[in-house]
Amino acid sequence: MNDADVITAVKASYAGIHMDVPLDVIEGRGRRLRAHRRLPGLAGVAGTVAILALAAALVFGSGRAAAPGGSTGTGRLTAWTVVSQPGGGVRVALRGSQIRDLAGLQDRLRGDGIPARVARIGYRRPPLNVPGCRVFGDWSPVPGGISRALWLKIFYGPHTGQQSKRAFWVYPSAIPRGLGVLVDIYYDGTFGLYVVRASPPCTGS
Amino acid sequence: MSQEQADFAAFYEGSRDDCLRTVLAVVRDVDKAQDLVAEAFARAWASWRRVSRHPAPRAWVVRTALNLGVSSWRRHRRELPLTDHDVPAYGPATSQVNAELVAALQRLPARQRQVVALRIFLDLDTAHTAEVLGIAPGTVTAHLTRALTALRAELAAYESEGTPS
Repeated sequence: MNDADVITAVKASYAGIHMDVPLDVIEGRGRRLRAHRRLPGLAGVAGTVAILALAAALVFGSGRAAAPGGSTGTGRLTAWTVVSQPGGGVRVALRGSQIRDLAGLQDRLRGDGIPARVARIGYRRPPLNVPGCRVFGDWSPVPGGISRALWLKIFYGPHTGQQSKRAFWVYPSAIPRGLGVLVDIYYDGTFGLYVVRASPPCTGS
Repeated sequence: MSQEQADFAAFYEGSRDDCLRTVLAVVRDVDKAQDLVAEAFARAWASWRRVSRHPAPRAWVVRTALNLGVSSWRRHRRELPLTDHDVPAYGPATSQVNAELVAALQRLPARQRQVVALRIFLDLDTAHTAEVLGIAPGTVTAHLTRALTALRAELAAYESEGTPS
């Protein structure tokens, strides 16, 4: 057996591997990357403001006091902030295109009494197929499904209209016993929200 | 569709499987490889005017994907692991020998896997492979020789086991 035979065999062994991410998904992500690049000046200003705000918080020690009755994202200015709202909701704000410390966000949500799973599921793996989780993908009135009304109560509460692409709400009191939430953080820092069956491997409880 | 879009679509259609196979051979996890390659293609589209003039655009995509893999590991090592993500899934093996070969390739040292992947799946020559990996051409040749020797031995062993005596 010569080298050419080995190379042919190796190629054949991967012949069943195919990239199945649709072109429009790739192009959409590429367009967002281009858009981000076009705003360097704005990003610079925003960065300067953030640095000044951080300096002010350090000088005056008022960083956490600004959060109304809630907890903040442990000072990670480029990651996320979790704030408990007076109405019983929990607001999660995401910052930056690369959300870091997903485990920290998950711990924070669980610490606030929300059976939660936070993951970056990625391009290919469908969110309904998260290991360890039974994910409710759509609203179905049939037994075993969840209603759209319940999904709205959990993630919108009293809100109406569109939520922000960079922030979402969870209403723990609206989550029925036995259910939890799945937050899928996308590559560009946006997210998807799903209801899951609460279980130790999925939501920790 | 603009000409630029059409060019990129043709590039994606003609390169995506080879790029995926190359990255998969290195990272050994098909979901992770898909994500890395998808992100690399997205970045290629974001910079298409520049990437389309690159002497080896497919190598650019693979290098970007592999670089993303390194920085992703550094960035996400504290993230919640999805419990069965570490189970390699290589797609349908068409025969037992394919599965054996895939496993043999996965057992090679990382640098040998990289060289094999770039040479075999992307058909890069020694100079381009060396450039992508940032190593000397002679080192590429040495790694490739060792890797092919190991793979040949695996294949020979399989064939001798599989042949009735």
